[in-house]
Amino acid sequence: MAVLGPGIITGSVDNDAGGITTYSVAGARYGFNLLWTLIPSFVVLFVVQEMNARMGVVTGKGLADLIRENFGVRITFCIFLGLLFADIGNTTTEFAGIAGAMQVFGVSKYVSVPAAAFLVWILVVKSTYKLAEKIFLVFSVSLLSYVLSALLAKPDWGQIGYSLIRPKLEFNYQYIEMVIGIIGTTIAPWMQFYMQSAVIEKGLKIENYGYTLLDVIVGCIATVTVAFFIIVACASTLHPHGIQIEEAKDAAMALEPLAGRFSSQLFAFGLLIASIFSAIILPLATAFYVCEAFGFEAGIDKSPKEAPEFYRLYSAIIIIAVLTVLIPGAPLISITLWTQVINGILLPVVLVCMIRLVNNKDIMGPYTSKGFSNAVGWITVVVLVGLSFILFIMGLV
Amino acid sequence: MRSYSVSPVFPSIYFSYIYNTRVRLQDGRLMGRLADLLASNSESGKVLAAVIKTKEGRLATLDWSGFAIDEHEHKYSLVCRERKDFTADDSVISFRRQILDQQIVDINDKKLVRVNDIRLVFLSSGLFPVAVDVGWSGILRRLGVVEITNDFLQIFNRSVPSRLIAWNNIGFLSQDSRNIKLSVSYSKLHTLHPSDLSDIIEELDRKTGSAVFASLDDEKAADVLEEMEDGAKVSLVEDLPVEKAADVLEKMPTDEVADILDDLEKERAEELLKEMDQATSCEVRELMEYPEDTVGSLMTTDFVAFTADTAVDAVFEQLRKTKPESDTIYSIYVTDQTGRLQGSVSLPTLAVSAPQTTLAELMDAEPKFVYDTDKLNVLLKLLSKYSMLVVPVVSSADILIGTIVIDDVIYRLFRKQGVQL
Repeated sequence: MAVLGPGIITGSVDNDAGGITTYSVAGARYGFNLLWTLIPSFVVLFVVQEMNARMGVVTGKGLADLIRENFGVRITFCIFLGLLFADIGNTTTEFAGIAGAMQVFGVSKYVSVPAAAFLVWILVVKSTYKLAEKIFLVFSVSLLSYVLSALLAKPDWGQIGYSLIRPKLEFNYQYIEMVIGIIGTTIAPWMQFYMQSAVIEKGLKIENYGYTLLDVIVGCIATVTVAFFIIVACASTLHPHGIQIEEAKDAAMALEPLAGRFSSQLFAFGLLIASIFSAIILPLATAFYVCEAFGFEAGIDKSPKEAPEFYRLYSAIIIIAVLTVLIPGAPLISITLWTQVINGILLPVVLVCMIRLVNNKDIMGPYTSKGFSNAVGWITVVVLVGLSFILFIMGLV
Repeated sequence: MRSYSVSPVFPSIYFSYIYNTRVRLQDGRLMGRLADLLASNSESGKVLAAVIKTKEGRLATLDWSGFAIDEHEHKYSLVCRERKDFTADDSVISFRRQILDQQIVDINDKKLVRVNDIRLVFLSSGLFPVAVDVGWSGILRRLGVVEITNDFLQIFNRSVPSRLIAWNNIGFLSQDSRNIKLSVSYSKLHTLHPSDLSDIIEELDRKTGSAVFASLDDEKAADVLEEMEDGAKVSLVEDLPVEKAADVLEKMPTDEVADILDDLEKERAEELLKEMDQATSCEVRELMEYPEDTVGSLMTTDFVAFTADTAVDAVFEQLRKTKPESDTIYSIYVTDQTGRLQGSVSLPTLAVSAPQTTLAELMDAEPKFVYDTDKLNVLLKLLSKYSMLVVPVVSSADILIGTIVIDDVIYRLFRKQGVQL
């Protein structure tokens, strides 16, 4: 773990159930036509993560602390209310991923989800999750199966190149929803908090900044590469047959070129690993940051008596997520997609705070942002707010 | 409508009621909004000035004596009766930048808390902060819903829990970017026990933690450093300026210093060794040479030794003069002129013996010992077989060079098992 930097770890976590699902649906529905979104996503992801890394290294404080200390209670409350809402959704997505994956193995969600919830809860409360984190990181290498599958499907690279340069933009509700969803799942707000904390825990100093930057880039490349190949794999296998993804099982077909009969199992395995991993980290991180922002004791190294709000919040997030997934007939794919859209809508709010923090001389000293970083940041905010607004209007009409 | 500037009625008010509220001039014209209050760093914390953000967007720092607070149905606003400029020096405390929403230390409970609101009171001599609100009532008040929530909870015969900490039980942490007088700001923290201080410093972010640590005097800093976890120890020593770090390390037991320097980067360790006094740095260097599983790597070079002909009262006189650390004098060792170990006398034995008795008469002439190059299991066997608390360590020439206290052994054992203490 000493070798792996915060950027790389965050990059792996980025490809959770929400990510896999969103990219799969993007490839199935639109073929190669949404690949172009990965280019601006990569740039924005890098700029945002660099901001977090720089803030963490220079101030040594978490993002939640900085927001509270500089923007006061009201703004903090609004942001964290939104974050909590989004993260309950994200956690639901992870458990939906577990449910979907286990369905491929023929296990009913009414068995798999409570079992998984219990497993996750035990791992955290017994503080062995650090070990589990290591195991899961190793297994997340299984996502590389998408790379192999995409290559084996022999996609038309010419067509891919063409769609990247001259994308077929549509101006309808579904398309815009997908764009926001892709950005939201690639640059999920909760990950920014997680990334900054990881940087602080690593104890990096400003002298190692070059190493930090490299680590961030590698993480971003990892995230976007896997996303790219998931989309290409689904576009090559599902899109030509017009297969819409209604259930996780459908997405497994994308791995047929690689695994043939075993594509379902391979896919399910990858999805399961990614989902459990994130189901461990996500509610924990959320409960931690919310408590930090409001001055409550938090952390699994504290007993439930010492940190009651933390444990209650953590348990509540998991319970709500589990109950939602267990509702009979719950449209798991739709819930998953919608959660990523919420991420995309919440992102500009967090981003505005981050940009203001990272340009504040009192906080950052001589390490405030350069022009490029600010430009990308503000453009992203404007674009996302614009898209969200359009989506909202279209939804009303 | 009530107006308070200097009122004998002692009403209290919360900072959140007046923060960002409108400020008008005597004639009713709008001057701006209240951006901050500045208070004195003294025990009383008297409010000295108000920082107003004018309509034009500039900040004006004005003497508080020219202001009054108007209250009308629980809505507060400020009136500026007299505009007197105030020059803030380094010793003022900014409510907005150092207290509100910032982390502070609760001196009584010895932990970190975040301030949600500040409670002020009007006395005949002025406006004073009396407490900070670190609980739910503070959060709800800032959101403007504390009254509604209280009304709601009344149904169940409860109220919003209130958690206030008295102003003089607070240790400030956040540094106003203008404020350079560290020691003045952190003085409250210096009254805490080293264990509590180390817990707090470990919880703080690295910058603030290092700043607090740097403000301690050398003795206290050494005590705090000893209590910290290994990773935190190294960060703190890295962040200190070399001279200060050397001064603090000189006050610590040499084996501890060796352990810390082992974890530092080579250049930094060298810098520190050069800066420390010769004697200490030589000892530390020697200790650093021992491989990890040997007795030498665990021992401290602090011990007390006398020749066999020394009398009990002379021993005590010497101890009173030099005042060694308590765990080094549990056993007094007897050596010959060359320093070879001859015997040991425990402190309890000394305490009950007649003052003129010589050590030769009291000592255990066959003391149990270990060699510095012995492996740790040799030491463990000795400790458990003879139920010893401290064991003398000799060189291959039987010269007494150090001691090992059982605490260090336990600590090292647990670390090997991976148990976090």
